[in-house]
Amino acid sequence: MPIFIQKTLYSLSLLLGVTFISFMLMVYFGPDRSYAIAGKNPDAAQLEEIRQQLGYNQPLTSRYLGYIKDLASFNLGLSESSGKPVARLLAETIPTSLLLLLPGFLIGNLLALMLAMIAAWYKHSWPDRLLTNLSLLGVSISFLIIIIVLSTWLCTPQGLNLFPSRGWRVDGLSSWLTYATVPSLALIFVTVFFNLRFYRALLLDEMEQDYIRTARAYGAGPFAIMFSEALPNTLIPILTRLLFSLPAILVSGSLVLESYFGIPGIGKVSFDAIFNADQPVLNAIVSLSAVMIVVVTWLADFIYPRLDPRISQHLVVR
Amino acid sequence: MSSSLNQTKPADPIFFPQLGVLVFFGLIVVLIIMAVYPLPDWQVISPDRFAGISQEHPLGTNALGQDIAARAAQASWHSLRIGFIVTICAGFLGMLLGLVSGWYAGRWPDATILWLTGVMEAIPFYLFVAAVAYAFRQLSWSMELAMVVTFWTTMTRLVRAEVIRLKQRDFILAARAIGLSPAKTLTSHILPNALPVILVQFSMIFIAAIKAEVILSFLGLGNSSTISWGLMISESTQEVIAGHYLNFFSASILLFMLIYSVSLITDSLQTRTDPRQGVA
Amino acid sequence: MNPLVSIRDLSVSYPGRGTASALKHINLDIHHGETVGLVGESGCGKTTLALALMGMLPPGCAWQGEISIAGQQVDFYQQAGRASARDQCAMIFQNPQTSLNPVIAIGRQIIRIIRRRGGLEKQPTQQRLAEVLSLVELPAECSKLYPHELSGGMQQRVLLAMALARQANILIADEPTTALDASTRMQILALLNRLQQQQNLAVLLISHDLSAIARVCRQVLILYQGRVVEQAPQELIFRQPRHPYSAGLLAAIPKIHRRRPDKLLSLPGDASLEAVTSGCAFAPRCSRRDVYCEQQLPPLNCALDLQQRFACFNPRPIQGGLK
Ligand SMILES: Nc1ncnc2c1ncn2[C@@H]1O[C@H](COP(=O)(O)OP(=O)(O)OP(=O)(O)O)[C@@H](O)[C@H]1O
Ligand SMILES: [Mg+2]
Repeated sequence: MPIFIQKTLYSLSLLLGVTFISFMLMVYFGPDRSYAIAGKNPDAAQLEEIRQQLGYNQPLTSRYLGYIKDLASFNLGLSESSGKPVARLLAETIPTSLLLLLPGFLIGNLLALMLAMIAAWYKHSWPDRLLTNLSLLGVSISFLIIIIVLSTWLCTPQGLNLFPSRGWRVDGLSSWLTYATVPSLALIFVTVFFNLRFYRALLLDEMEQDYIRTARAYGAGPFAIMFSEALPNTLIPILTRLLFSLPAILVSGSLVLESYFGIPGIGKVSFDAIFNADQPVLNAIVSLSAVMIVVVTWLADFIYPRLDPRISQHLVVR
Repeated sequence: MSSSLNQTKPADPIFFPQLGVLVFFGLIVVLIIMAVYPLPDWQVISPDRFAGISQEHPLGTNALGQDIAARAAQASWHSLRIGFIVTICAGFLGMLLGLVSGWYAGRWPDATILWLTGVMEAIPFYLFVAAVAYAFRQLSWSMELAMVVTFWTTMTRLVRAEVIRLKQRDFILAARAIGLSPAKTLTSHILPNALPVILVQFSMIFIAAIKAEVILSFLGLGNSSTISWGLMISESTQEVIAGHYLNFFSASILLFMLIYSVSLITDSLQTRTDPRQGVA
Repeated sequence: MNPLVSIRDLSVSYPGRGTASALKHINLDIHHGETVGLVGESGCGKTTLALALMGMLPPGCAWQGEISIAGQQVDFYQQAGRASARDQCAMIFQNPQTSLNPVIAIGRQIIRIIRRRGGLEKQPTQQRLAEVLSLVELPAECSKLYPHELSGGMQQRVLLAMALARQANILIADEPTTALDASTRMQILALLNRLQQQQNLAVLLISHDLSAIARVCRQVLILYQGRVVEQAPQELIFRQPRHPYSAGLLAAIPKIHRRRPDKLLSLPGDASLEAVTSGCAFAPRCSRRDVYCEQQLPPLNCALDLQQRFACFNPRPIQGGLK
């Protein structure tokens, strides 16, 4: 299967690129760990020995190869600030982040899709115009402002004081609701307005197609046209957007939410790692995000032929 | 059973298309007023903490007694400066790479550029900025550098697609057939036709840069030698709980005005240049 | 007998086109089992008429007049999906490739229509599906295929099957054969003909292709810039077109009209909605025009035998009499 091999090679080359950049930035030009390891007032010989151990004196290529070897064997090392194995740190925090982010992300996208359907059906008349104007307004309000307004309103004695303002002690649905509602609301708000216009444009394009005219001529109503006719044809771009924004949401989106609400997820871990210059953790997260992109690409290649019979397994275009 | 025969023109989707320009000029006027108004220096700490609106402090003071108006003005210029620098650098970089990639579509320069695009898109943005900030810690503009290095990718993809689309057109084929050089064909025939897409993407980069700068400085990853909307918002999170809203509102309203006006202007630009949107 | 479709004084104009109308004062009756052909050059309003019948004019159109189907008056902007007299109509389109939903198997597309139709038949859906497929001469296995796996002719058969599934009494076919190659075209026309007779369908066939019209239709309507300029039974119109425009159209197809194209009747210039005069719209291009034509609008008159109507002050004489 030459296409398969080609794709695998491409994915590997992407991974190589990402790891090379993260190696250069975070290891080669990154913090010099010898001082930290040597402790107070090291003498030159001690430092030199530690540098030797860390491999700082080796040429760039061999250091990079060693770095790749560690990553490939999941030898992620220990976190410098907490001393925990990085792999365990990730395994503990990723589920938290998923629990925090996925529901809001999915609800927001679903809501955006529904609103986009309304806008596309009432193209150019008032519901469409209202939604277009609202979404322009919505995307212009910064995520931070939404978070602060929501949490001040819902989590402080100034406002309704319904939810705790920080923390994460989740062991069931009701505790999930306690801690995740406000962050999720903020995420939903941003997701809806970020995606509404994109989905509307997609659906509008579909609505102009001939097969929609056929469906109308054969008595299909608004729901049948939107859900049974137009939607199946927009699944691929929609899924692409969802899949490819997932890594970004998980790593970058969680950063703000989790550091603001004090939730121990991957975002909080990377936030702390950034400020402690915790190299092994940062390396692991960057590589993880790159691996996610590659996995998502593979997943897309696997799913698309099922969504559109015109795409055969061998002819996937990105 | 008859309707009026008067013709309805398809409505502009935006309720007040002029609003964007209006808000933008409003922002500029506010900034000019703040520039000419005799404000204290934005860094000066005074014992006058959480002061209300007064002649001396038109927007009050913050927890350290610093003048909010002065800080807001300084932060606005800082944001605008970053926005423009990043937009111009990343925009032109993306455009250049897109032109090359589209022109050599399917050959090695294209493959290389696409690969680079893929790599940059696979790196989480905030971590990248943090890493760049650390690696280039002696530079004061490491954040701008990190944004430029990441924000060009969408422009490249769009311009590449546009070049590939236009390359098939008869007038381009004709230009190439009479032996016009690639550079000349690209600049005098393809670029003007791709301009709407490029302009819209420029303002998208602008918006993204402003938003990213605010979030980065909110998180404490920004340039700490100056003040920024993100820092003001970050300060205000504690103040808001205590019931002091001036800092929060000054920063967030200015931020909103800038992004909203640019979004509106971009949108009408898009509507006007997309022939399909004009017709009902 | 009441006509199945009756269109009275229908005028339609699109938004943003000034006062120029795409259709002007159209009157048309279609009876049960009748076959009507609609001919005219590009932009004369054929599709507009079909869309008006289907209730599918784009929003923003201005219209006047009345349409009734099976004695029931219908709204111009009927809400999609609402049951109405328009359920009697089915439409097939010029480009079968794009007119079918690309990501849904054709069996399911047909079943959706059968389900929507519901009630009338006690027959199970699958059985009905097999029946309509066999009526259009498609093997039953086709129902699992996707549109892109079918040839153009098969796609058009699927659309015909959809029309049958809808149990329509009126079939509107907007240039159904234009996108097909010559031999497939003949097959589809033959099928259309047979289905029409089997099911006693009323057919409104829109086509540039006069030979297609000649095969299928008994009545022929010639449209020029949104007006009916001639209306007559097929034999009459092909043998002795009275309107100079009809004659010009016929002259373009040497097979039916054997005489070499009359020089005076070749059609110079082009039809555009902008060229509106107070007189006959065809006058600027007409070789038989006189001063009168440019000032006054010729009404749609009857010839002496009452079968042939034409809107012309100076009709072509009946050549050689009735043989
Ligand atoms: N959606 C629309 N908006 C504005 N004008 C339109 C629209 N659709 C059609 N028209 C105009 O109305 C007139 C009649 O169009 P129509 O599509 O009915 O012609 P037609 O006879 O079907 O032509 P063809 O043979 O090319 O299909 C044309 O002048 C056309 O430009
Ligand atoms: Mg047509």
